Parts: sequence; structure tokens; C-alpha cells
Amino acid sequence: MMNLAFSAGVGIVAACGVYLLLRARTYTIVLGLLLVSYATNLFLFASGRLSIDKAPIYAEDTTSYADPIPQALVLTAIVIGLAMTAFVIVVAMIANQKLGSDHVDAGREDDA
Amino acid sequence: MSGMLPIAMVVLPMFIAAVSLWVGARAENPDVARDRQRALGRFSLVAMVPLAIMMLQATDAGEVAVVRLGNWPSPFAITLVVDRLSALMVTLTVVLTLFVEWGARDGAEAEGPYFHPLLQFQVMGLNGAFMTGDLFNLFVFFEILLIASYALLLFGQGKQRLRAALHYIVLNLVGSCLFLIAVGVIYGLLGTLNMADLAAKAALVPAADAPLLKAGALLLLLVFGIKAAIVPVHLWLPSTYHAAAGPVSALFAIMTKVGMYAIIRVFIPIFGPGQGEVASVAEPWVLPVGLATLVVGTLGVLAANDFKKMLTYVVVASVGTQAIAVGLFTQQGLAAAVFYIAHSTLLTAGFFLLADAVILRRGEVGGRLSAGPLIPSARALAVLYLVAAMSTVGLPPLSGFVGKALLLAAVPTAWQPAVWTVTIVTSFVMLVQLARIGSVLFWNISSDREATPEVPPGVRSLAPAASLLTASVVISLFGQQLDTFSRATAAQIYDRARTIERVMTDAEPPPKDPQKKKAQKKAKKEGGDA
Repeated sequence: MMNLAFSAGVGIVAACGVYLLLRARTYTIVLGLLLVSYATNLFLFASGRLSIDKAPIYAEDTTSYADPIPQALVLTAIVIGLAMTAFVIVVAMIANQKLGSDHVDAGREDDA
Repeated sequence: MSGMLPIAMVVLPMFIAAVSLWVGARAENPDVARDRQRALGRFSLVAMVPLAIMMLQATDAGEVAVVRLGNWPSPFAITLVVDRLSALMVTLTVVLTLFVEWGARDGAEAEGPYFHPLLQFQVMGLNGAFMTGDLFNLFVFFEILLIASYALLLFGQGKQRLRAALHYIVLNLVGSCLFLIAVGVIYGLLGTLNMADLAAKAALVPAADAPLLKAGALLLLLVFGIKAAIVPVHLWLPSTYHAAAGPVSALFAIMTKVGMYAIIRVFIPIFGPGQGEVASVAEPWVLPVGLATLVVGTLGVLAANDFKKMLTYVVVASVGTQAIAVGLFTQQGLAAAVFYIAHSTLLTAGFFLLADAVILRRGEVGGRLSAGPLIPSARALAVLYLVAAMSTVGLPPLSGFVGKALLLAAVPTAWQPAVWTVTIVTSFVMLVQLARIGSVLFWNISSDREATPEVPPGVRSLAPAASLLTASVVISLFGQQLDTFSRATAAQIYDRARTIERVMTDAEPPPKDPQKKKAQKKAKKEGGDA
């Protein structure tokens, strides 16, 4: 049940993200990128298998641990994703100012 | 080879970049800042050349350097693995960047602040990507080199650059997400991300898990295909390279090779021949899309109405040639691919620098292929163009000919009709088109057009382009050495068992001398950052 709910959640977020990515405005594209990267992070997190009540890394009196590596991977991916999102927002804002529109192909005729 | 050496190739440019950002912020005016940053950047690049050559020599003697960051045993440590291919790619990166930095002196670097720190970050990402032995670490270095390339692409700004950069950034962010999904699938099934360990474990995967693992592998192929600009995910390349400043597009000559390098690293040792359920996953794809890429690239060359645009399609066509050579999935094919990668990196970069020089001198006509002014130093430019065009097409005696001949000789009988026809016909089409473009650029003179007058240092500003193009001649002079080296490289990549043994066992004894301890500390920090 938990697996089903989790995977459905990842799927819905990813689908919304892809839909927004395919729009032609930078604002929706940035939102789409955010959603897709959230879905990716969740997916990556789940690659260590979902489990409840396990020691996160190590505990003395238990033999079952959660896999710490996906957690570390997700942490890295989140940090990188954050930086990249900040960067793409800045570029999109400059593009909006300089090209006079937030359309992804704005100003194509100017310099053809 | 000391473990310090590969680490230095990553840490030195990172350190220099950080310092030059600080120096740039403290300088009293932009010119002083740029002078200091240039001095620092040049120091770093010049220092890295002998280091890279040391790596090349050590690996050529058969050594495979394995650096386990933090000195954890494999596969827990993030490893840097330097074999022949890594050493060759790192050397190419450093040498290319040195020439690009030289070529940027006459204008491009002055278009904005921080050109030199960005160049250092780019080198750091490239070197790391070429040396890492860990799939997730490869992702991290991809991101480092990508964010540096975003900034370099935007360098100097301008509407066309902004739009191209926006497309390029969004595409690559989506690519990064796909990369992570593939990493998640592969980790979930095999429980490791160390490439040597993956190669050992992929062969043993149970039949029930094989389809999912194959899906993950093919997702990786798509991601690397985006980076390498293979058809049908090549569409970002022409507009991006066209929009970038001249030296930046020259530097980007190595960016498509990163994708090709990753394909070689993943789809030969890990998902290559003889890997049980997941053997030869990429084999049905790489060769056919390589042929398609070569055809599409050549058609682009034929259709282009702009000199630089035409060159971007030359890059696509060269990616196609490399993909064909890799896609044969034989040792001979891979050897030809390695040779071709070395040749085309230097040649393409030189061609871009040359194009920049020509376009600059043609005044308002720019790169458009119509009657232009009589440009200053036309004779020198035309000779360089002749060398570049001949080597691109693959006319003897230049290195392009050797590369293509090696490729054609490596094709097994079953594929000979398709590969030979496509390669030879596309070469001929390119020959016609490059001859036409050369005659338009240098002979189709219209007296009512004004050339841009030569600015100092005049014809000497062609030196970086000329040196890169001379490399094509030098490579064909030392063709046999490079051929021997690329054959040994291919043999090493196909010798999976040996690499696995080298990376997974033989852990170094704990460090004793303080010098080494320091390296370990640095390494640990590196590992922590990743």
C-alpha cells in the first residue's frame, strides 16, 4: 500500500512537471523543472527501498538499517537542483527583460 | 603515479578559480582584475600541462591509477580511476583550454568579467568527469562542467545568446533529472555505483531484474546522447554553438566528447558484450543513430547559409562518425574512435577560432555566405582554412584521413556496405560544400562592402587557431604513435576483468608520511563536497 501510494505520488508529480515543461512560457517551464526534479528526488530516495522503523544509518541493538546511500545521493541532488533552479530563474528573468517577453522563442526574428 | 596527481587536476583549477574570483572582486578596476585573473588562470593551465603529460606517460606504461578518496576500501570510497583513456582526455582538455585562453585574449575575454575563473571551473568539471570511477560522481562533475558552460555560453550576453542559453539550460536540467532516475534504477537493482563494481555485478543480474536494468541503462544512453548531440537529440547543438563567443565554441569542442566518453565508459565495461542478461544493451542503437547523425550533420553543412552555423553541423557530423566507431562495439572500432576523438577535438576548436577571425574581419557581412569585402590577411586565413577543411573532410595526408581510414578498416563485413557508403558519400558532400564556402569567403569579393580594419596584433592574432590546426598535421606525422596508443586504450577498456581487479582490490596501505595525509584530508573534503 505504501509503495503504491508513493509511486503514484511520484508519477503524478512527474506528469504535472512534464506537462508544465512543454509549455512555451519560461515561468511554467521553471515550475515544471521544479516538479520534475522533486519527482526525481523522491524516486532516487525510494531506490534504497521504502521501510519504516529502521535505524537510519547505524544503531547498536539492531540488525536492520535503512540504506544510507540514497539519502546521501538525494541530499546532493537537492543541493545541485536548488543551485540550478536559482540559475535558470535568473537567466529566465534576464531573458524576459532583454527579449521583452517570457516566450521561449522570444525575439527569434530580430537577429535571423 | 602518485595519488596526488589526479586530485591535483581537479583541485588546482578549483582553487585557482576561487582565488581569482576573490582577486577580481578586490581589484580597483575591471582591467586590472582581468589581468590578474588571466595571470592566475594561465599559471593553472600551464602547470597542468606537464601534470597531464606525466599522467599520460604513466598510463601509457600500463599503469592504472586508482585514488580512493578518504582511503575507504572499494567500493565504498568514491574513486578516481585514471587509465589511458582518462589521461588522454584530460590532456586534450588542458591543452585545448590553454589554446582557448590564448585565443580569447584578443577580445572575447573583455566582453564581461570573470571569463578566466569560469574557464577554470570548466576545466575542473571536465577533468573530474574524465577521471571519476563512480557513476554518481560522474553526475556531479557533469553538473559542474554544465553550470560553467551555461555561464560561458552566456558570456558577453546578447539576445541570441540568452535565448540559446535558456534552451540549453532547460534541456540539460531535464537531462540531469533523467540521469538521476537512471542512477536510481541502477543503484536499486545492483546496490552499487562504483563503475568497476557495477561491471562485476551487472553480469550476475537475475533474469527477472534484467528488463528494468536495461531500461535504466538505455535511459543513461539517452542522457549521454543528449550531451554528445546524437540524432535525434542533437537539436540544441547548432543554435548553442552558433550563439556562443568564438573561443567558447572552440572550448565546447570537447563538450560533445564528454558524452561520447561516458558512452564508452558505461556501455562497454558495464553493459557491454558478455555481461549475461544485460549484454550489449546499446548495440542495436549506437551504430544506426551514429549513421543518422552523420547524415543529418552533413545535410546541415550543405544547407547552412552561415559560416559558423555550417561549422556547428560539422560538429554534429563528427559526433556521428565517433558514434559509428564506438557503435561497432569492437576493439578496432573503439581504437578508431579514440583516434578520431583526439583529432577532431583539436581540429574543431581550431576551426572555430579561425571562423571567429574570418567573421570578425568581414565587417557587417559577418558569417553570411554571400559576397563580402576583401579581408585583411586573407592569404594566411585562406591557407588555414584549407588545412582545416581538408582535415575535416578527411583528405590525405592530414589526420582526418587517418581517422576515417582507421574507422573504415575497423568495420566488420556485415556493416561494410552501410557504413562505407554513408561515410564516403558524406565526406564527398562535405568536400563540395567546404570548397564552395572557401571560395565564397575568400574569392567572392564585392567592392561595396567594408572590411573591418585589422586591429593589433594583426595577423599574429591567428596564432592560437594556427597552432590548433597545426596539431592536425602533427597528429598525422605521429599517426603511428597515436594509433598504437589508441589500440592499447581500446584493449584496456575491453579488458574488463583486469580493471575490476585493479579497482576493487589492492587497497593502498594507510598513509604514513604527513605529505600523504594532507592529500587524504583534501581528498576527504572533495568526497564530502560531492
